[in-house]
Amino acid sequence: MKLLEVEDLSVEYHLPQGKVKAVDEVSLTIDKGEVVGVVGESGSGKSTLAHAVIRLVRPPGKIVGGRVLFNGQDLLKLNDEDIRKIRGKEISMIFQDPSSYLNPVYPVGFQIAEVYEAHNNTNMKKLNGEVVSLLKKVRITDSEVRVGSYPYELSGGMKQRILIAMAIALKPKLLIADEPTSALDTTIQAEILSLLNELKEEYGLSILFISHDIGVVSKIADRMIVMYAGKVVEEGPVRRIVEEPLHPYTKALVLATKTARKKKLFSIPGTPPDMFNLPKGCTFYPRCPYAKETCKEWNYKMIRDHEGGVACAIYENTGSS
Amino acid sequence: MIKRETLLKEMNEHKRTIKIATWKTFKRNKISFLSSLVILGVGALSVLGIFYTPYDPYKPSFSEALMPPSLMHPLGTDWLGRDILSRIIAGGKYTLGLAFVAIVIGATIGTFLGLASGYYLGLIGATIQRITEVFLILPTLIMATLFAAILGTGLLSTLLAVAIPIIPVYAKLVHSATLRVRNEDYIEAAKLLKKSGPYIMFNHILPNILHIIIVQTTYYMGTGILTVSALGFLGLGVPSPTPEWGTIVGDAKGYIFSYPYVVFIPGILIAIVVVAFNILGDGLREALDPKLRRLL
Amino acid sequence: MMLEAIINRILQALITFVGVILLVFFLVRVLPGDPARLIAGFEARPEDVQNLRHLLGLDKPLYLQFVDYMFSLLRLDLGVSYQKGGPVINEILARLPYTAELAIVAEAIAVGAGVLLGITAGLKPRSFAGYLVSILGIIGSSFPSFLIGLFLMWVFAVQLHLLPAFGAGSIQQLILPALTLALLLTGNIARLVKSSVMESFSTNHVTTAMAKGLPDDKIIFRHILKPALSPVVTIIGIQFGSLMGGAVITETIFGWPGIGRLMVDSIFSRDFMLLQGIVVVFAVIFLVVMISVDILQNIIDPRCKMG
Repeated sequence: MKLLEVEDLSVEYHLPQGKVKAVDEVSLTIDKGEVVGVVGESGSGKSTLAHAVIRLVRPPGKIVGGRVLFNGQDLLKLNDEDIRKIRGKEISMIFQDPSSYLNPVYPVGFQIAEVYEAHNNTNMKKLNGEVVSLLKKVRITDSEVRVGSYPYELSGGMKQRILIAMAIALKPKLLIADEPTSALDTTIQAEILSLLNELKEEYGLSILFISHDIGVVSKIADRMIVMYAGKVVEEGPVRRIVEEPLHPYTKALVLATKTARKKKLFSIPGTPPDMFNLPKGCTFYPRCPYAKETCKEWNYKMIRDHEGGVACAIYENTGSS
Repeated sequence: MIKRETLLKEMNEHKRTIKIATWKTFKRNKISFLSSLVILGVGALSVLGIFYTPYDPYKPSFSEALMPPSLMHPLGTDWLGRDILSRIIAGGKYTLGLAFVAIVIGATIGTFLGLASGYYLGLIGATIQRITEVFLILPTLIMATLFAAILGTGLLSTLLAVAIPIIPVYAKLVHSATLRVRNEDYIEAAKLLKKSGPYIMFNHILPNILHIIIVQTTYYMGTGILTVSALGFLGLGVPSPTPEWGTIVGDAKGYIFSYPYVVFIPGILIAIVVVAFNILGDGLREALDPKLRRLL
Repeated sequence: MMLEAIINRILQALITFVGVILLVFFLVRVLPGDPARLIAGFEARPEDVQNLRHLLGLDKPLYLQFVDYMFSLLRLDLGVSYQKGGPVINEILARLPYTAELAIVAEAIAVGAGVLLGITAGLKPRSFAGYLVSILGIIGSSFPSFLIGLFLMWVFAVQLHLLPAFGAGSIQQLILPALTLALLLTGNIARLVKSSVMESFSTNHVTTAMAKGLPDDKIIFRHILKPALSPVVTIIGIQFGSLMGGAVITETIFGWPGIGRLMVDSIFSRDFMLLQGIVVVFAVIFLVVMISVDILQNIIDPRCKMG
């Protein structure tokens, strides 16, 4: 039994302009100790997917279908109190912009201690010691002093470490990381990634790592799924995706990353999809360099092989579906 | 190469489009539109009051004192036998007119001061700022009361007593708005072109803060009306027997036990107009805010 | 570092205070009418009026009079009331507690009701509380204070005979004037709290709190309400001016013997020493409130640290 099994999860947003299917029947699995990356551009639904796993989707968003099996238990069917007990303790989450995700009027030490408090560990004296050693673990210097600092007194990298400390305090089994490095400088990015790798080794942590940057994901993930317009278009081991991408969109993403490093800019032609009016057939069709007329009527299908899968008409008659 | 004429034509077209979009946004908000109609309605009634009222608002008629509402006197008569409806129609021009003139005067002078202190940041600016702060310590009503005390009662005195405390309010408002705008690129460009200070202030800064001034003025119309009538109520504003609405209430309050109409009707009228101005202000704020406006 | 900033503010305030005194002093002196003659009466002989003028120091040059006044202020001597004969400061101190009582009770009601309503309305905008907040907001900011006061008087004193209409000294007599003032203030506070709570509700740190598994009540109190309530202190300070202005009218309506009514009386009796003294006292009160609000704000919200 896998640690996390997401089956056909769907999330909709009800906006004044119309309904948007931000996540459209997405499935993925995470094993114990495995790091799975989710890659896609803004609006692909990857962030919504991350939030949906622990039911943090807030109105006007709503989970409308599928199952999220954590150790066999469907999280979507739990009552509020039970899911609350899982959050922060079995599954925890870190976010993109640490500044807005920390409460400005409480010291950071207090906000970390809240995780313990939420799960009934409230021995205040012992807690201070725990928090200080937690800060040391996430490589924050002067941790005894920093415990009393307010978020505005800390740098972006330090704030992200605080979020990480909050997330690993109770030694969860799964950490969901929603673009944790996107708002940071490149040097800090590298530090945070290496910290996450370390913690993964030490705690046997599984990670669901969301990013728009395939390069960053490839540095930490074992397997990767690629999302476009709310659907999974490819999945597989990181090495294969980066070296031999199958889906035209994945190819474009990989090409963009490679050329960015060589300082030549390649951008994917066309405009991001209008989520209110998705084209029929393959959603990537308008921007696909390999597009054929038949793609306009193609029905979405994941074509799988032993390592992963791809959802593209080109591979229709290979592998199995 | 784009011709100068084409550019100018495009600019004018753009301005026209913005004006149309603003008007359309404003109309879309039905309550705001309704409010402006209410204001126009009451205003029109007051203007009517300059020329005609059903009865003479000043002439006492003791035989007809304290009569309840009837066909002859729709709102009844007061303790001197004067028709209340006529008094109110006649009084509108004082309450609304004084407030309007006072706010306009205060706003104009205050805006000049605010622009100057915001643009010329040096000694002039700082001095104006200091003086403005001094005037802003005390709340508007108390300042108005103080000036009313000094200037006495009467039309001109009340006008000044309401206008003067408003000046520093605008000075401060325009000052901060100017500060926000003065570092924009087009100001730098104008300075490089060696345009003079006053030119920049009026042709570049003022148009770009005008929407703030208009919205605030709409709100302050309400404040002006409340202040004029408060002074009248206390007996420090427009004096009896002139039927300024606040004065009417002040005179009538002794009759609240027996004859509430005189007491409440002018007050309710004031409330309606001020509410209308506030709603109008909200509507204008939405319509004129460049960020909130949607171009059709 | 905080102490330094406080001292700074106080010095600034003192300069402004001197400015206010200057303003009031010269304004009052600009009046037509000769105070000495007013006191002495119309039948007094010219020599007596001259003597009196000399006694009051009114024959000295203006700037000397001002200096004298500033020094006497330091001794807390606000001069002598023309009409009443006694020291101005005594007159004021006799009435100040009444206004203070009224203001404190009204503010307490306004803050209590306003915050409660605002929180309820903020957490559930389309509820009854939400609409009540909008209506109260309109009433407080648009209705003339005399209308509210007279209306309450009419309903409770005249029609229902539940409460007395005039005077001071008993709790019943306090209710109507305090309620009038409170009605003026509640709407604004409630509206501010409502929008603050609504904004706070959708902030990201609330998501973090949820991700930690915190129970709802702690999320509401620590992560939604606490950040949302810091503007409340500021608005109390901002509203203080309206509170005092409203007090002037309310005291007049209900015959409440506070300094608001004293101010109006002093104008009618042309007692300008008294008026001057009242304005000076008002200025001091407002300056103190301004500084206190600044200091309090810093304690509550560490983001706004001065200096």
